[in-house]
Amino acid sequence: MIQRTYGERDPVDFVVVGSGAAGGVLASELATAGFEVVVLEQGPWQQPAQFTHDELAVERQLAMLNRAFEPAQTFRTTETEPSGSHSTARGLLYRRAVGGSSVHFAANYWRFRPIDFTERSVWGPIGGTGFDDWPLTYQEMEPYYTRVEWEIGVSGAPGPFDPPRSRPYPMPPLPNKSSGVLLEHAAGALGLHAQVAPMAIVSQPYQGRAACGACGKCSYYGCEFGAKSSALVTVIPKALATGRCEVRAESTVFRVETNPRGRATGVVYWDGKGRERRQAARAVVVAANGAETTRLLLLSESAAFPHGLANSSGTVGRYIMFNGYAYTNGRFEHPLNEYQGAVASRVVLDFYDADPGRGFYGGGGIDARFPSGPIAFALEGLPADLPKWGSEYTRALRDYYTHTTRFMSHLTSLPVAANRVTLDPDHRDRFGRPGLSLTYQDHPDDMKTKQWFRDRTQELMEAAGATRVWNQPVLPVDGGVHLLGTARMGNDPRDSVVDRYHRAHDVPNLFICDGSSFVTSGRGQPTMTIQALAFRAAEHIARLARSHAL
Amino acid sequence: MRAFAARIIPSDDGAPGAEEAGAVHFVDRALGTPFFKTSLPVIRAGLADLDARARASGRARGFAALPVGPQNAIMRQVEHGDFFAAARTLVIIGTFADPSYGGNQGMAGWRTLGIDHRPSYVAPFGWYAAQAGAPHPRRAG
Repeated sequence: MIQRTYGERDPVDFVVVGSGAAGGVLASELATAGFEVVVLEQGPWQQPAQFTHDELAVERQLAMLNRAFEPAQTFRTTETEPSGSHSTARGLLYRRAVGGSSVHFAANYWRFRPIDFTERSVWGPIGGTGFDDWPLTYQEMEPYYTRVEWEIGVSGAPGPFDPPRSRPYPMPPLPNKSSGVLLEHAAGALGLHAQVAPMAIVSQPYQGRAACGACGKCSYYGCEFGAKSSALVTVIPKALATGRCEVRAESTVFRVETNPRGRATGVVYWDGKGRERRQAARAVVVAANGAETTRLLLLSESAAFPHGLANSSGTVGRYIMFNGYAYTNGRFEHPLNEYQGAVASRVVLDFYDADPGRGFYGGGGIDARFPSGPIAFALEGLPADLPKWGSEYTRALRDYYTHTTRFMSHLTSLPVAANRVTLDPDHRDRFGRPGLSLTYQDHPDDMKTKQWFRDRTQELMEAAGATRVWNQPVLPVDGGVHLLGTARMGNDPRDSVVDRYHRAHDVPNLFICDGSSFVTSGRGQPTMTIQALAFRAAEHIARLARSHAL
Repeated sequence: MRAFAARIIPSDDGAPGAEEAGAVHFVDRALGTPFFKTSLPVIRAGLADLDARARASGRARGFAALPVGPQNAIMRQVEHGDFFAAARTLVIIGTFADPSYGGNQGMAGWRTLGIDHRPSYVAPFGWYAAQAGAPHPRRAG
């Protein structure tokens, strides 16, 4: 496809920063609505045929993730420590490429439930946090969740705890895995329910894309079949097909420009050769993920916006949430062959809601998954008491690899103001931009939630009949791939960055829409909600533009 | 290094080990790449130390010339050190990484793990799904 190109000086209707789950939807929807759109993406434009199953490059060297480009990221647990006091293998993780992190995500596509949007009212305040209701409800979100499922292709089936839906899933579930059968068995024995895990992977040919080949390389890998419903193979091609959208890869935006009237006029970026370029636009949409959106807003400070753009509240970069997790491993008598098929096929959502009876706030879901490639499993996948070399090690690898799975919980993280992304002037990237610094410490309730859920995953693993059960230690969160809450949504400009339609409180023609908009964390699996928010935001932005209210 | 690799993942009961997988070919190549080259000094020093320990036992000119039993005795002496951790990591990656890196020859490492390596798979996946007659939406070709 030959894409339409635009000049840099003539303002386009919208410039969208970021081509991932949110940016892709916004570009596609705004271009479909008749507007001219330029998308700027700092990473390269890869095609599915370029994706490999190379565990060393993809998982150990993180070839396409930001850390391969910018290793100088720093981490500390409190602001009283110097920046970078602790090392972390995780930190702020995301993909730099057209399609963003949706290219490599595991594709779990749970909807949020009504409680996620109103939990502060139901539960009450939580000390030391910014725990709050969202300025919108599940009822308002439902049509957009349905749009995501049908627009990009989500495989699934309803479960006993699902909120109301206006339309069935567009296609049936992916095949159940052995781990899903075992989770069903365990849940049944404990009076719980294992339901189909909805996945943004097509189980049947869909919109010209091939059905999933069950290759087993989803999480961290790009899908060479195009069966994973990433932005790269869904909304980006749709945006280009309108003839009103240009995607510029290897274009690193470092500043949103504003005029004396406080309006955004466009963005400044470095192209692939490091040359400074500009793109003028009537409105700017930032969808760069919770870490990069923060950096861009803070770097866009000016006399009128001395603390960074759209940051009169001082909350840009604050309240970052990653979703906690905790898990139990199990070995079974017969082969499970978990290296085949999508990441998860069944999930237990009985413990989704927080329960005052537990004595702390927190909830989540538990699925069955085995994310270890051969290298990772041989390095760190066996029970700690087994030999690490020698004949018994060879035998253990042979006896465990195809017989092992994991019951894993995906959990709430509380929004804490001190948990934040800031700029680190002492560690700069190749352009001289300040690096990202993460300050993060779990709220005490988040640690209790992890411990409580690990007891549940252990019970389930024992009930599933595992011949050997071993727990992963409950560890503090030190980063992750869910980058949520750093430009939070709210009705009050004093404590939020964007309004309920993602318009910056401080800048009338600036919109910020990605994981940064989240008020609370949900229970893991945020991308479905990121995309539903983007569909909803695009509809509203188009309405404003049509009525000349931008 | 070849002898060390063979002690980390020995072949066992028909399952190929690091030697059969040609893990050392990966190690040789990896130590010249930016990602792994920081390990080079500790690997060199560690291998020299293995030989020194072998000579000190008075039984051989180097670690590789020792029988398996005395080799394992030396492995136990060093198994908590930096060299052991770095070298073990390289041997494991060499045994189980994509064969294009020089190790895991003939997918020997993957065979030891029980992996039936294919570009795609058809359900049911594993014994329990087969027993359950897990329904699936299509028959892949």
